[in-house]
Amino acid sequence: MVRTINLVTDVLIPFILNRKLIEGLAVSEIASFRAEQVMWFLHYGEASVKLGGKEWSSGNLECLLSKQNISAIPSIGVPGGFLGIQALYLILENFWRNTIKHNVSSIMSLLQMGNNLGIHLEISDKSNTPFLIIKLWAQITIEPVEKDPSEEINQILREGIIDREGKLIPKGWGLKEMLVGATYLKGSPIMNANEKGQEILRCYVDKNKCLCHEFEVLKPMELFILTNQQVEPDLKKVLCARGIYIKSEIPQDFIVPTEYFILDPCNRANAATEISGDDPLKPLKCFSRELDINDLKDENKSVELSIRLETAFIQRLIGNAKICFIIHSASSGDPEYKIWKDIDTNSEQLELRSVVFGINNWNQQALMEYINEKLSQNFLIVIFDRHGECKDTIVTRKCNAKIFWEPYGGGTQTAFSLSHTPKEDLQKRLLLYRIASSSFVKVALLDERIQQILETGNAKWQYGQGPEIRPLECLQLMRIFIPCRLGSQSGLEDDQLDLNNPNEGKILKWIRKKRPHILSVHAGILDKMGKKTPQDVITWIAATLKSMDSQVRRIVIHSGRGIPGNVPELKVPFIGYSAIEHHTISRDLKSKYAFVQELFSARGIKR
Amino acid sequence: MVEGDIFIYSYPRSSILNLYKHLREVDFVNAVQRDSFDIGLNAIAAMLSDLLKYKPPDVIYLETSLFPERTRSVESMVDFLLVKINSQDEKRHNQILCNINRAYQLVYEALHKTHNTVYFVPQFFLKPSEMRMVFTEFQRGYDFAYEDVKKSRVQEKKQQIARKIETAIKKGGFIKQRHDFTPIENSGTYMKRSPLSRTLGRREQRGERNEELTLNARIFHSFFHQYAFPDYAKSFLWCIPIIGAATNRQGHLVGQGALFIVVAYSSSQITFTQEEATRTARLICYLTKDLFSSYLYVSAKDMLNVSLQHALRSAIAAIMARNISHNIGSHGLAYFIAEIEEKIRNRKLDVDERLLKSFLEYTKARMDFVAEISTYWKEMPWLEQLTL
Repeated sequence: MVRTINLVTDVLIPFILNRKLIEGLAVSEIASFRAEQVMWFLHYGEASVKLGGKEWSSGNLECLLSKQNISAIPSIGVPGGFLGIQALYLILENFWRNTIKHNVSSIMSLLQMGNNLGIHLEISDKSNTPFLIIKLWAQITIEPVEKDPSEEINQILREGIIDREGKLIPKGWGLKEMLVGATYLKGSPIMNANEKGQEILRCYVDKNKCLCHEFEVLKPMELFILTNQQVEPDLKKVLCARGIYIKSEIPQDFIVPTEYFILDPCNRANAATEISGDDPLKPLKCFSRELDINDLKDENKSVELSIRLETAFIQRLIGNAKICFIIHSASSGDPEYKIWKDIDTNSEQLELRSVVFGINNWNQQALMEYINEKLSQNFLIVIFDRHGECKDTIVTRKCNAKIFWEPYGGGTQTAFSLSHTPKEDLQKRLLLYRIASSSFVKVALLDERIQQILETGNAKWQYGQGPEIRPLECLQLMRIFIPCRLGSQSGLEDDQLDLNNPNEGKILKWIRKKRPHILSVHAGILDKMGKKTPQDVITWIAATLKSMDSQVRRIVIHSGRGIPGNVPELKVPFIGYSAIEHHTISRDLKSKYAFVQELFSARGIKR
Repeated sequence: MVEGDIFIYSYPRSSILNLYKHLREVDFVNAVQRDSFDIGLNAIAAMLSDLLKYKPPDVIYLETSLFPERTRSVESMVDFLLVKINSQDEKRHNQILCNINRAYQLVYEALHKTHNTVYFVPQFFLKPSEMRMVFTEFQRGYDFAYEDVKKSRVQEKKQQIARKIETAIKKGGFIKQRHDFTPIENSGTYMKRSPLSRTLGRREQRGERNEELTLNARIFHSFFHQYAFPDYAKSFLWCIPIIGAATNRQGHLVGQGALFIVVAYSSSQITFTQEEATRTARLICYLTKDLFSSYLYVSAKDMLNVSLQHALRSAIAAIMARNISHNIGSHGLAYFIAEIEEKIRNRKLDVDERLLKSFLEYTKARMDFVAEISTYWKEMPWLEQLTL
């Protein structure tokens, strides 16, 4: 439902590097405009991050980002995860277009003087609420005119999108699309976009005479606790501002949007509430445990609780095995190496090693010996491998089932996840556990388009000067299982399935073999298998779940056409196709952690 | 006024029969059709005549504002008028009708423009408000009593309205009558005119509410009498809620919509007690609300149809959004992007193609997002409760 997103790497970087868009929106007014002429600033308290400019058009992205204090910018919660980011783009895109359209002379004179145009996003905490406030403005001073420009904008926001008869009001559609985005990001009901426009998107001229837009976004949504403990309303507010929500009861069909869900077993009123990952309206990470809410006053204690929950979840995935978490960087200058090398995360369950060949006697041989040693000690291995240099060490092994291996390069999604971490050590530990648990989640993906795309030609992925690897093989080592087409890939014959002509029996056999924790299936495949109605789909899911892992299991339906008619309401988690595709088909964007986070955030839907 | 009169017509069996005789002729399914509606209005007039048979008025004026036949907009409400004159003198008839027509145009226009309407219901279905029945009495040569209202406020309003009327007269707007009265066949006593489209202009916040409406009714009455019934000594105005009418806890007759009844007398001796007036209003509104309810039903159905048209347009846009996302996005674009991705893998692309890939991915994700929100909106209304 709501996914935690890094505002810089997940939202702004893809936007500002989308030069065709930035320039396309500007060149109608300023023909010579170039994307590098705009600078993007993010502010949070004293901290600032500066993005864009000339060097960003050709420079090394990783290097440029490492100079910025990205950790200082808070993460946000976005309803709808990857697709929901588009709601923020609705705001940025229309803001950018309006800025250019209404300030041509100011911008032209700015550029003629050799200056860049600054766009600012200032984030502030809306205290004791689940929201952050984002103030958005362009560094352009409004010329003194008779009428305050914000008045007209506010009038448009006030009048709404449709009139009393439901007819579209033909005015200010760019602004109204921003309003739709702001409403969505807040998790606000759709009718509020029409009725509370001016509350949701606020426009004003600030003391520096800049035209500002202000709206709210969600803070990350961490934990939902169902308990009948008496909790002070003030404490409830403090906790909800940290993404922890306490409720004594939840109505029927309530969608729990957080990453974790705890049912207090003392809660008699909710004794009947089912605690299992099978409930599509609750997160997979559901737990029944006693806890004292007052303990959560201390922020560290609540992070520790999340770590304990994550540990418990890992246990469900891998039993009592321990985890050896290896980050193999290419050099000691790599940002992820700097971040993790000194972190004391070692515990009984998880052991972290930051490795660079040539430092501390590490080399291929030493790493192989170390892995062998750990495997013999009942450890499972997670290895993030820059440039995939350890491929041969890993791929040739016969015990792949005990090893997760993900290669990555600089400027990739995985590099961002490992390099731009929270500041506090405890939060870093939590992230590490989350990455570890995501690594061990076995995901099976049934989508004929992804299958075809990943097998196109002689598809190979390569990072830096590392070895080449076939995408399907790589994903398999990351525990993302995608069947290959009949006869298309040697070495993966056991995984062959023709998804263009899906055979229900063969698919079930394949699932039984993989025993995934999460199965994401394209609605179109269900359709082709004759699962035309929601009831057909429910029956199929009930039967298929039995072939999946017994501890953690969930079936997600995905589609690129909204919510298809055969998706049962509130019974199956749903996710957009773009999100699935984004995290799997591209060498640079594939990321097991991001992909699994996206799948975790999927919930049942209601049309 | 004799108490006994009230007693007699408190149970007007004949009136009820008379009313239903007329109502039987009303085609409820097509009640919005003007002719059919006029029959209903005639029924009310007949009933009123019967109710007031011990004080027969010289003129009965009935008016209600409703939607015209198949009109799609609340803002083009029309007034249905009916006038019954107890006189066989044709010349007098014409004079009275002319006066009424003039008063109707001048006074309403001025009231509307000065925000002093009596029952202003621009958001009739969407935002129902509670209206109280109003009864006022006006006698030529007398102003109404100011004991319960602020005199200066009334005078200020009256001056405003008077100025608007004078301006209209100077412009000669009233001379150019848009709607002529035409005698109904046979009786010659009932008059009707075509619906008048009233353009309310831009949506704006109106201030006429609650007690202000009562005050406005009294002001309206004084002006209306002045222009419509200059030769009559006395008149009485009922503003009666007609839809969902009921007695509230304070004992007031409340509801939606309004039927305006003005009865005029040559004699200044006629009086109605408040109780008598209320009973008359109650009787009329309770017995007629069936008629208006059926009208309301048809009007609501009309409005629903209008909303459905807009909903259909949105639905079509949603279908198209879904298909753009499906056909062009997750099929066409997905493979096109994959081709570019392959070039990236094979290091055979230039910067422009990389940029094109970013743009296409962005476009595809947007298509998917639009398709999703057109079928499902992720919302958490409970979050707002937490911030209260």
